[in-house]
Amino acid sequence: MPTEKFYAVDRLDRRRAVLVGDSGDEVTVARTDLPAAVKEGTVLRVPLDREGDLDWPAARIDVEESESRRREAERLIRELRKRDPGGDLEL
Amino acid sequence: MLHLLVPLFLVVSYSGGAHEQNAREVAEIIFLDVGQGDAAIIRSPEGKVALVDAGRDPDILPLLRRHKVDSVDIAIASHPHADHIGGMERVIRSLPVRYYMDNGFPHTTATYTSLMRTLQASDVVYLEATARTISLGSVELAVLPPPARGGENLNNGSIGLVVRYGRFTALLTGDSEVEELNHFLSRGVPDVALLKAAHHGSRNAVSPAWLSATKPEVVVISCGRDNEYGYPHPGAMRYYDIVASAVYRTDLDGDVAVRIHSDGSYDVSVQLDRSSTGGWNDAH
Repeated sequence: MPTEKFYAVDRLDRRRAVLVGDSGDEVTVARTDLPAAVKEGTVLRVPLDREGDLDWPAARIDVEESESRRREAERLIRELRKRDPGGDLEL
Repeated sequence: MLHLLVPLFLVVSYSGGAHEQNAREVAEIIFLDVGQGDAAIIRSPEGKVALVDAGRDPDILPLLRRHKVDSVDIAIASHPHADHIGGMERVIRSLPVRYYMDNGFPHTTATYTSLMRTLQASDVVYLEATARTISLGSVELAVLPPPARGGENLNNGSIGLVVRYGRFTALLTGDSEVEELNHFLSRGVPDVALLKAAHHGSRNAVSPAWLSATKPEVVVISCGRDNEYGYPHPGAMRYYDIVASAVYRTDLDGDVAVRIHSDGSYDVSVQLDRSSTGGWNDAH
């Protein structure tokens, strides 16, 4: 049984954060329950409590995982850009 | 199935009333009711299809089938928030898709990463959101690139799209907030017949300057019923109600379909009757 899960901050407003788990599930959490430094793209390690529920106030930012995912995304974008024929297109 | 056959109803005509033009001369923009998210189909008279965003529910395919979309010439993700790209991977995996455009801003969610890996494994041609024009048959999509990288708010990296067919013009700007709208204004935006309200009708996604420049006749807001964000914001609605002759909302109207004639006139059809208490009026 996992003891924690990864969630990435998808989007933020003043009061809420919407996070996406690695299984694609989406959760809305009050920003006050999250580390103050979260930004869009921040990856959190979220521990599970005894009932197996996500313990958001105990979540912590995983800087290394955040950067790793961002680098992987940038790599994928670079690869995909090689397919772009450039200029205007007629479909 | 029955729901594929039930037509949209409540047709309102703009700029010229009913038309007898050949169906092949009609372009369409259909704003899909995807709940709290964005997805729109643009179809040229020649049958070419652009999908702009794909909602947050992975299973967007039934909505596309309802509008007889079985292939996509270009899929465009305005920005990588999950309420705009949630259904995109399923589209790429399930339908023939020729081109894909996004804003090139990386994200870290599983939704985004999985989509990008699916694209990489496919033969879909990726396009950067540069200042380019995509001819979708006789419909022209002019890309308004977002500002260069910077800032922490992906909303303000949304791709802008000017859609032109004949004398008709529409403008879609994803979830742009005022910061990005001002960027678009600084580069010039056309006045339009139809404006998709940015960011689901958020108060921070409209301004007097924006509406003064775009002068929309019709505004369409894509938002979910009883959404937790309170979209559309009453302050934004006041702006839109003052400027536009009609404001359509996917939360109240369901799918909103705009049929466009090359002379610039257009009809708007909606899926739901706001006066009815029964909610859905077709077999959704």
